[in-house]
Amino acid sequence: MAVLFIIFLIAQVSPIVLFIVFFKTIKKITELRVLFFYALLSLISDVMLGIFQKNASLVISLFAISENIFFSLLFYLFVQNPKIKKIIASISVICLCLIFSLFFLKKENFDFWAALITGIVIVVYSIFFFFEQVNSPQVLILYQSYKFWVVAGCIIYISGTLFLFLYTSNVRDRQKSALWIINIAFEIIKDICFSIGFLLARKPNQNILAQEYDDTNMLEKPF
Amino acid sequence: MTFLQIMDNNSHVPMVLFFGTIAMLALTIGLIVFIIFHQRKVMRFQMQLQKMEYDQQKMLLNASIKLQEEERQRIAADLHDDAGPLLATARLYLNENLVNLDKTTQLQSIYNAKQIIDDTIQLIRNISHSLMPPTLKNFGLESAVNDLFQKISSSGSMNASARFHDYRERMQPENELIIFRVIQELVNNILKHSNASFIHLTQNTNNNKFFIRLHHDGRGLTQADFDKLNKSSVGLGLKNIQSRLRVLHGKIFFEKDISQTYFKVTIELLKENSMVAQ
Repeated sequence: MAVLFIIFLIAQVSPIVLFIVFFKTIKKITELRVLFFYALLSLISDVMLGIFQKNASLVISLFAISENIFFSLLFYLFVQNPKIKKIIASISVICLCLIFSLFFLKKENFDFWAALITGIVIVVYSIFFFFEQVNSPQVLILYQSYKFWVVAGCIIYISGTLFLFLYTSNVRDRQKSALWIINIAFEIIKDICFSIGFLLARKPNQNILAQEYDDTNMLEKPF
Repeated sequence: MTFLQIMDNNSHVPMVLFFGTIAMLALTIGLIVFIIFHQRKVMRFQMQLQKMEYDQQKMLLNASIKLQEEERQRIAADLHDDAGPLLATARLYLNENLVNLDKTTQLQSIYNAKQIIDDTIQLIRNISHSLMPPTLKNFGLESAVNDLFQKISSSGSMNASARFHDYRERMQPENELIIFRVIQELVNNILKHSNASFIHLTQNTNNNKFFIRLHHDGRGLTQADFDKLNKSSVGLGLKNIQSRLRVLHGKIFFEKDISQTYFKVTIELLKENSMVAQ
């Protein structure tokens, strides 16, 4: 358990450390700055959960709201198609209004609803991203792009923990510790994927499609 | 082990949780793998298409350069074999004048030299006209084509006629030259290979398109033959026709007429791209 906790801590800190180490080369990439702040917030909320155990539900609720904001912004920046950007922006605004209204109305099972909305929204955004990559590919080999690893990390984390968060209130306390291990495992996978994204982002992409064949018509301009 | 701990026979929740999580993970991983493989397949296909297009363009460019070199060689041969000896002979006569002091002989030499120079002038004029017909520049495509067809008819080798139904506005000079060269190349091919007894050209417009149709009764090409020759290393003239029409974003179709008695070549161009701006 201690080993798992140490691995979890290292995995959580590694995206933050990598961003700081490669700051000079990747500082211009807005998406990675958003990801850095998300990773920082995730670390802070885990620390606060340990300190403010009595107000754990408040910390978790605030983190759920900010997680939704960060992921919406991240996917908005990832996607290039203006139509898809508008759809993401519209869905994000609606979901945020819903989550805020549930929070301020102090609805019971707020965690359940926040997790459900965030989970569905991230899966939908990930599908939009992959759909855009298939229709208008920006790189030759998809998994050599940092965006792929960030999105893969998000979708694997959400798909692994969605049902956990949905049913956590219906599970007994002694079982919750076992469930939390599963959450930690998926968080580790997510952070590893984010770290791979940071590592790939520091090198300019060699297989960008803009460097394909010269398409000037040789017959129209032969010399 | 972790999932066994949370399993409870009295509750359906852990079962839903377990199977739900597994299903979500399977779907997610399946989606990611599918996307990766599909995208690679699409990219490979696109690169293949681009390479084919590039190779085709390269072949057309080589054909164009080769034709230019052949044209230059022909002009060089005409000048060297015909104009050169004539001017040399004229020079000989004039040289003789310097030596021979007899007036009658002198006058005869000058007259012979003048005849040879006249022949040379005519020869150079013919070479120049074949390079760039002045009729095309001064009077337009219709006049140049009529001129060309008249020369073919008057040679007696075949019956050639041309009719322009709707050519009130002239095209831009560069475009007229391209179309004239295409027609010239097609006519040369018909003269060389088809054994036709007649050739007829018609021009008309329809909606936004400009059509030129060539009919002949000899051995012709179908579209399949044209595509095959274009992809092979032979068929230099046809490659040049295609490369010229590409500049005008035009198309060419080879077919046998419905009545199966003669062959038809149709050139199709967009009218507004090629007309002279008002």
